[in-house]
Amino acid sequence: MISRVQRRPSSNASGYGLIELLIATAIGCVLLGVLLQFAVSAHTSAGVQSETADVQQRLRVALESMRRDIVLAGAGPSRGVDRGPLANTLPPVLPARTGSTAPDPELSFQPDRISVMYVPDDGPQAQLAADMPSASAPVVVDGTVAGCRSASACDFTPGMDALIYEPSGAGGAYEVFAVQAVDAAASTLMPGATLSRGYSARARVAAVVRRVYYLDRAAKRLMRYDGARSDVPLVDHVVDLRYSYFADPRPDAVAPPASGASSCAYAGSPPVPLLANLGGTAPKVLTAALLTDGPVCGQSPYRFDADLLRIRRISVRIRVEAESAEFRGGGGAFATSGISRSSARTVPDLETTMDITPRNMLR
Amino acid sequence: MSSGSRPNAGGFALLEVLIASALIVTVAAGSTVLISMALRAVWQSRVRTLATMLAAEKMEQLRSLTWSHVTTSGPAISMSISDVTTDLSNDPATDDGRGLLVSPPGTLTSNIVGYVDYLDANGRWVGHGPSAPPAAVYVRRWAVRPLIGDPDNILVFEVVAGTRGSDSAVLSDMARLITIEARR
Repeated sequence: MISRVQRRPSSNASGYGLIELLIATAIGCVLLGVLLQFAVSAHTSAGVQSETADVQQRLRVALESMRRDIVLAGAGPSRGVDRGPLANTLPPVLPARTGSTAPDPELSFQPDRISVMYVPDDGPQAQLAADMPSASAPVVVDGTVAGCRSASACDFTPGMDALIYEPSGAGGAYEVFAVQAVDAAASTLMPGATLSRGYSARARVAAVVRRVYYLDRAAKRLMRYDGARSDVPLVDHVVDLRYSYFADPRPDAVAPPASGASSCAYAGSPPVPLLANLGGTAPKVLTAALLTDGPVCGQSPYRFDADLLRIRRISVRIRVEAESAEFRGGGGAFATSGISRSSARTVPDLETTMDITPRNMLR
Repeated sequence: MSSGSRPNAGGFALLEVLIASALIVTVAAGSTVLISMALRAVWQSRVRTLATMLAAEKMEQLRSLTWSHVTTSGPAISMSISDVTTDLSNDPATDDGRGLLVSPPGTLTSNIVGYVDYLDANGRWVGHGPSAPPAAVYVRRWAVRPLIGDPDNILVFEVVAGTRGSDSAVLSDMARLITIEARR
């Protein structure tokens, strides 16, 4: 190429000399080098920038979805007799997976799983019409009770999840069943599976929302389960998830039983609290031991630890990593080490905590 | 580039090449500024998001303190129960503070013990007290006030969180949250 360039101008007389050409080439090379350097660093920072934004965005999505459900935990029926928060009776927050598919055993504790339950304000809310003669009997709801919005089985429809519980005080029986069929004329709900027991005429029945958030450690995914059929991946590349439960430390943190009623958190008459005194007034962390040592409430197979009823706040700690191994390096800033060798080309894991005080679990 | 223009005249002189390269360098420098601005915007959005989350976290902690009442039917008595000892500036909270008692004036604009805590770049608690520890990046302050209409039963919680500037009293990238809490 050099020879061709040199030959032609020489025939035209003046033109470039060798020195000029060398200078031009040198300037061109330097310029090209600078531009290349610039392009490489622009490419790197563009990659790092979008990956950083993506990590932040995934963290926000994860926290916001959990916050929306956890903050509602414990909301109970808003209409009819015995309305009010669920936490007076049953645990709206459980440190384990609950539901019909692969539930954890009762009274278990898993730091990276949480189940929450709440009664939506706009769903059907009813009461039993009479004592159930047996566990396998259909559920007959009282269509005339205040809060039942119509005489057509209180608007229950097949496919709904319904919560049934004895509102008589802390530790009464409760369970969730799927409504398989509805006989509107007879105000009767047919459960998808036989209930664990027959409930009394006072028992409340209401449509319920259940959510389980858990970490699939193998797939590094935050998962959401609806308590019935579907497990849905929510956020990818979540490398750690931990729930801590903060409780009212006083032994009388759970509502004492009404006269004549019983409560699993109290014994004797006058009622003496059974819960451990955790000292002071500031909310204290419930350890795994405290959450599994009793006093035991409820009825098998849905028994639970009484300390769950004193939960006031839930703290979620989550750690999210960059999706591509190209942006992960080695060392403590990365849960899974990647292939990046330059620190300018890494997006460190993002870890944060969020506190949530369910509005219906205060007392 | 050079071969096309050469037959017409004398081609590029050194000066022209220099001017052209200066132009290219200027344009490149301009876009560097743009890219660094974009990077800074991503960083700032993280800082603001984190400040808002930290403020929300303190708000949830304030909400979790006892602010209720008990009624008995035997003799008809209604008694207020309020948390007056929790110190939320510790992590986890301790029992040597002032709970939901009305905060002294100025807790949102200066670092007043019991109403301020400090957090590192990742939002982890690093300390409390009148002055920020070296690791502190974020400062979080809060105030508890009675609502004028019903001072015995309704409280106003206000939380601010932001990054620590050179002047320790002034926060930048600040998030401010306010809510009210009624006695249960």
